[in-house]
Amino acid sequence: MGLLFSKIWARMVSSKEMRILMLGLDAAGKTTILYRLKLAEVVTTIPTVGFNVETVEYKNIKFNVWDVGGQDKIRKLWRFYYQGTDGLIFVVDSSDRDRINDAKEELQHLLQHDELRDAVLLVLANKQDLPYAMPAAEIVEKLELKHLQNRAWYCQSTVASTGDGLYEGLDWLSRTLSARQ
Amino acid sequence: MQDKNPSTQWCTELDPNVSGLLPISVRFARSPRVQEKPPDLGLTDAAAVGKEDLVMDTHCLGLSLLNVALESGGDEIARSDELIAVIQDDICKSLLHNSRTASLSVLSLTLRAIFNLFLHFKRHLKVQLEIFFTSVHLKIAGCGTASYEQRELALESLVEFCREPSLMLELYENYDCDVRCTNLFETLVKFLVTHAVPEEARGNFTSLHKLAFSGLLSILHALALRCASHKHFHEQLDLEPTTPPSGETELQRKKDQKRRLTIAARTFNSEPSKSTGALQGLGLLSNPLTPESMAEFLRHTPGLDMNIVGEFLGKRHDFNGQVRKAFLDTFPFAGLGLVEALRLFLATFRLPGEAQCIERLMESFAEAYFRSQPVADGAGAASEEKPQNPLAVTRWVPRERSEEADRDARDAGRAGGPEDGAGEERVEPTRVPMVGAPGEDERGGSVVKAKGSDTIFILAFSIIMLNTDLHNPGVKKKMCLEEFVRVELGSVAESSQPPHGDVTTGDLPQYFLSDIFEAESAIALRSSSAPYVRSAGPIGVDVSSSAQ
Repeated sequence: MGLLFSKIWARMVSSKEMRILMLGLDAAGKTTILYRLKLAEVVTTIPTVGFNVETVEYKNIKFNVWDVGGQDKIRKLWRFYYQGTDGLIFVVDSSDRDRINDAKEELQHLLQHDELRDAVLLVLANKQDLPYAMPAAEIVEKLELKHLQNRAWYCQSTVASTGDGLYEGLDWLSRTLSARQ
Repeated sequence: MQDKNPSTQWCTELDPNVSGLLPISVRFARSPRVQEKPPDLGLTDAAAVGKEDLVMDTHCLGLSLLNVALESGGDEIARSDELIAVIQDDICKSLLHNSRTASLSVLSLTLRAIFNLFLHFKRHLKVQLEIFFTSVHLKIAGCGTASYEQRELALESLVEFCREPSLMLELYENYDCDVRCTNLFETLVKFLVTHAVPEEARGNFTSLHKLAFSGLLSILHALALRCASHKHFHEQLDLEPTTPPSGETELQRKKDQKRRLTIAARTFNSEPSKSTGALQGLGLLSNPLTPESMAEFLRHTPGLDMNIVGEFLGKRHDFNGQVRKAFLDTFPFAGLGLVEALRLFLATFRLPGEAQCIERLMESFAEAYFRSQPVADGAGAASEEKPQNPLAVTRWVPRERSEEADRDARDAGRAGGPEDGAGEERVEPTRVPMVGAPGEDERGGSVVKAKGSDTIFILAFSIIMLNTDLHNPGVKKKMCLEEFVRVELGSVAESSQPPHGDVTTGDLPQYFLSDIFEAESAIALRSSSAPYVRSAGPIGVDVSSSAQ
């Protein structure tokens, strides 16, 4: 009986699906990250034309990750997908000092959306392997994450090409999201 | 139909046996395909075995009849368009299917029929013959699992080809020198060379080796003969009747072009960012490099990796942006519906999945598409005051073409364009006949007004979103028409203030959006991902249908 119960419980837990949006300036490494996370799984034969969308299962949580983004005119279109978003993954190219300000503005824009009010924020300070990459602490400062109010956030340094740090980031996401249930 | 009849009649008068024979033999030659399965189930049953034999006999008879028809009346058949259509489609399909048979007599007759097609119909069967050669002859002859006899038959047939001296020359000219085809002659010779001697040093010299050897000898013999009197041979070439017999230098030029394109594709695919110098060295890119020549290269070079082409076109850098614009200028978007135009564009490369790349590609696409459409009312008057931004004027955008509209268009013939009063400013759409004279927002009109390329940009971007939503298996909850329209109109209403002051798709009628939704949900957008053979300019023979 106990076994049966735990099985049912496991199934209930495993069916939890989180809607995650992945954002960031182009060439920040979003595509590589998605690909990295999917590496262990079967690659679909003919990818659908369109945006990168992947479902990644990690620690009993299914992350349905969308690569979204774009300039102002386009951002309105994404609002449909913002609804019910549990988490945001914001990817930053830590070696691109020229555009870190653009990244900050992009993030601030995004967080103003009402639909994303409850979404937790994971910032991936990517490309740590490159020379002169800003460390995570500097990214936190440049993105002014400490000024955020009423927002659960975390900054993780990563190297997408090797996968370093990615699962630590997902760990934080799943812990934070589970705790909120 | 009526205009076709005289050609058949004429053919019938000339040789009643032949033209009557062909359709009958076609029916018999392929009938076993339908009947093959049931007898397979009960092979132990005596009656079934008898039936199987009967089927096989009919099959062979059909193929024999086909061969007789082709051999005795091939040239007459070649003059009838209808019969050629039968050959291009039905007969080639049946023969391709037959080639997988286990029966030696069927295989032998099939190979014979293919040879006959080669002799009489090569002008109409360029693609089909390439398929036969690579996936029947060479495949069977080189296949380790095929029986010895099967390989022997295939090889014998190949040798028969080799014995036709002009055929070898034509293979070279039409396949090896055509950028869209595989190097058939080269493949054939390489194949024969590797199969002319046993693989191991002390292996047995079998009849297969002997056959391959004699094939090589035939080719060499023909070469020697041609060297002696090559002038004479040029008069016999009949493969490309529209062009004058090409001289050796013309052939060399074509072959050289193909070689350069092959090297270029390989270089570009391995290191796209560093390939510019090499490509300029090959004479395929201008020096200094212009966006136009790069666009031309990306658009028309066969064998390029479509993923890399997509990445290149989607990059942020200025030069990539210029190439993107030049690339888009090569498409004839005038008069096409938005989804239709998008399909045309996406078929030429693989769309990257990154949001920003898609955004840039769609923005450029929207500009090119919008510029191709005719200007709507008021533009003429405005242009007197100041030169207008061509992307900010109001233009007519065609609705998606539905089958209904197609039928109407056929019935009505060519009707007038939109009565927009723009006078000489208007570019007449060429592709879609405008149905009737549409009122401004009248339901059923074939065009609607769009007030700027940003309108198209937002729409195009959302079509890609919609495609992801509807057709990506990773998305569980699919968007419905109402949601699409709401997203669309909502986004548009909000973006109507900044940044140009007149950006809006809010005026787009709902039926225009639902047309798009329907076109999009019916068939997913396809983007070419594998390097594929693309049409390569003016070179080549008329190819009207494939054997698929």
